[in-house]
Order: sequence, then C-alpha cells, then structure tokens
Amino acid sequence: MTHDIDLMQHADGELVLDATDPETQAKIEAIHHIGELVRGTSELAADAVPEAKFTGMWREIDKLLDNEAVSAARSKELALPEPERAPTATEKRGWLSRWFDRYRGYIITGAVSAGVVATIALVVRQGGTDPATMNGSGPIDVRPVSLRSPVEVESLDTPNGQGTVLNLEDEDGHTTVIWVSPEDSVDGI
Amino acid sequence: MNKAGNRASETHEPVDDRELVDKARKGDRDAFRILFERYHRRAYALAFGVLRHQDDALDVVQDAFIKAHKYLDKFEGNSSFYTWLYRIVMNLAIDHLRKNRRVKPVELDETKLEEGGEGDAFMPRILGGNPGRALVDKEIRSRIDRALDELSENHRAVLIMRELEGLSYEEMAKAMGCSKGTIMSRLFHARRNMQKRLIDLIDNPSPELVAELAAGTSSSSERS
Repeated sequence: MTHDIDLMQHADGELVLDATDPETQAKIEAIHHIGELVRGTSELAADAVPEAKFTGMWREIDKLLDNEAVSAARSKELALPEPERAPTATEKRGWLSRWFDRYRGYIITGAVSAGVVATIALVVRQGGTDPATMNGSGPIDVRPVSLRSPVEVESLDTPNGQGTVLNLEDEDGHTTVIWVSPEDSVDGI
Repeated sequence: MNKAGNRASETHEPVDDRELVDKARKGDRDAFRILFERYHRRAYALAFGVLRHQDDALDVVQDAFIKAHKYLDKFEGNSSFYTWLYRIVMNLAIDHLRKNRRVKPVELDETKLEEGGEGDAFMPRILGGNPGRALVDKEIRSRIDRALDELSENHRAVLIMRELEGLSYEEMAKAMGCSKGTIMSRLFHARRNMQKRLIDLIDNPSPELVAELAAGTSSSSERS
C-alpha cells in the first residue's frame, strides 16, 4: 500500500511512483486541488489591496533610498584617508614634537586671521609698558609683525589643564606659542 | 496576470529584468521602480500568504525591495530577479514570524488530526471540477481564508512556498533552516488540515454553490 506521504511526494514531483489506480489518482487530484485553491485565494488577496497602498509604498521606498544614498555618501567622505601633508615645523622639532604627541587630545588646525595672530605676537615680544605685557625683568617689547602664512592652532590636553599651541611663521622665522590654562579646581564648575 | 504585469506590458517598458537590474545598479531609480511595479503584488501575495496580515505583509514587501536595492550588486543573475526577490521576501516573512511568534490553539487541533494516522490522510475528493470557479464563491473563499489562518505558521509557510512559488523540498528546507523531512511532514499536515477543514464544504455544498460549480464546469477557468 502506498503511503499518502509518498503519494504527496509523487504529486510534487519529488518521487516517482506507480500511481495508476483510480483511488491514488483521485488523491493526487485532491492534492493539486488544494494547491489551486491556496494559490487562487492568495492571488485574490493580493489583487484586493488598493493600488494606492503600493503607490505610497513606492514613495516611501524612494525616500528611504534617497536618505540611504545621502548617508552612504557621507560615510564615504568620512572614510577617505586624510591627504598627505608636509610635516609641520612643530613636527620637525624633537622635544616639542614628542611633548606634543604625548598630550595631544584633538587637533583643530585651521587658519586664524592675521589680526588675531598679530595680537598674540604682540604679547610675546619684549618691550612696551602695558602691565599686561610685563615680565619679571621689565616690560616686553611689543611690536606688530607680519605673517608669511596662516597660523596653525592646535589644542592640547595637558595633565593639569588645557593648552593651545600656535605655530607662527613671521619675518624672524618660526615661533611656537604654548598657552596653558590650569584647570579650575572648584568643584561643580 | 496580475495588475502590475498588465501595466508593465502596456507602457512598453523594457521586458528584460536583467537590463533593469543593470540600470538600477548604476543608480537609475526609474529602472528599479519598474521592477517594483512588476513584482510588488506577487511579492505581496507571498508575504500575505505566510503572514496573513495585510500591514505586516506590506511592511515585509517594502523592506524586501529596500534590501534588494541595497544588495543589487550581489545579484549574480544566475536566477531571475523575481526568484532572488522572493527569497528575500520569504526570509523577511519567516524572520517576522520568528520575532512575532504567537501561540496558536490550532497546534492542539493538529495533534488531534495526526491521531487518525497517515494511511487515510488524503481524501480522494475535491470541490467541484473547477477550483477557479469555486473561488468566485465568497463562502468558499472565506472558508479557505479561515482554514489558512488556522494553520500553524510553519505549516502555512511551507504550503505557501510550495503552492505559490513551486519550491522544491530542498529549497524550502534551506529557506526555513530545517531538514527536508521536517518540510515534508509540515507540508503533509498542512494539506491534510486544509482538506479536513474544507471537507464539509466538499461533502455538503450549499445549493447555490452546487449551481455555481455546475455552471463553471462547462466554462473555462477564470483564472490564469
């Protein structure tokens, strides 16, 4: 006697059987009949969905793909290797470079306006009588300087405070200014 | 033919899916839209067949097209675009079932059905001579819908894969991550349960249905 599970495999083309007797044939027809009903019902259910639903679906897909394309482009930009650059004057110098590497937190390298740099240069040059530019041995000579190139400004995380490093190229050559502000020791600020 | 299929042929869009896929890969969104137009209803029928919930099925279809677009480069063209798409739809539908698994009382009913043994599992009886004609009858359709709703999710998924897409037992086993024997068993019980749930319709059809079916035997099927 042929088991119905074998009969089903035969009906599905998964097994070859001698299925010539009428009873077996009728069962195979019943199996196919169920398939027809399931197929037909599912297709009718699909046709019953209003086209507007699919129109809305496409709009949503289109929008999502646009968003995906934008974020993919952004990721690609972020993944690009930084362009190679010539070593800075700071990197060329030994101890300063090592100190830099040790405490470097993040770098905000950028061009600062010549006016700002000139102000900083005024501070570090000796001379003048402004109390703000006095050192222990007398007034610092403060004179304006002209810059050859934009200033590199970098921020540093130091053990007890925050620092700023400015690399200037003026008519006297290269100057590095390291400005460290001690951390505020008052809790809660 | 479904609505989408009609529309595609009417507008003389390129018939070759492969060509559309190539264009879509190069960023041609309209080409991808044509693929969507061609297959969204078919993909929906598959998702709905498995999930039996309109909104869930629509979500799965939407996700499937987004995924298909994302991985278009991985489509090697060894099979048709739709074959590739339905695998995505099927995987998403099965994932959806796994994530939203609900305990259904029908599992107990199936145990009862199994008590009858396998020898007399399939009854050599069918509903009239024309299934297409039978589907015109609202009562039959609602009974079939109910019978499908009451199948366990695994049984229904296998039945839909087999009847809608004609997948082999091996392909279904791969899709569902189980053995070929399990697939065979699920399919067997799914069909048997469907037949048992519809048998009183078959044995005792209403006079209207008898008349409907009698009219249908002399005409050709309304469905392709």
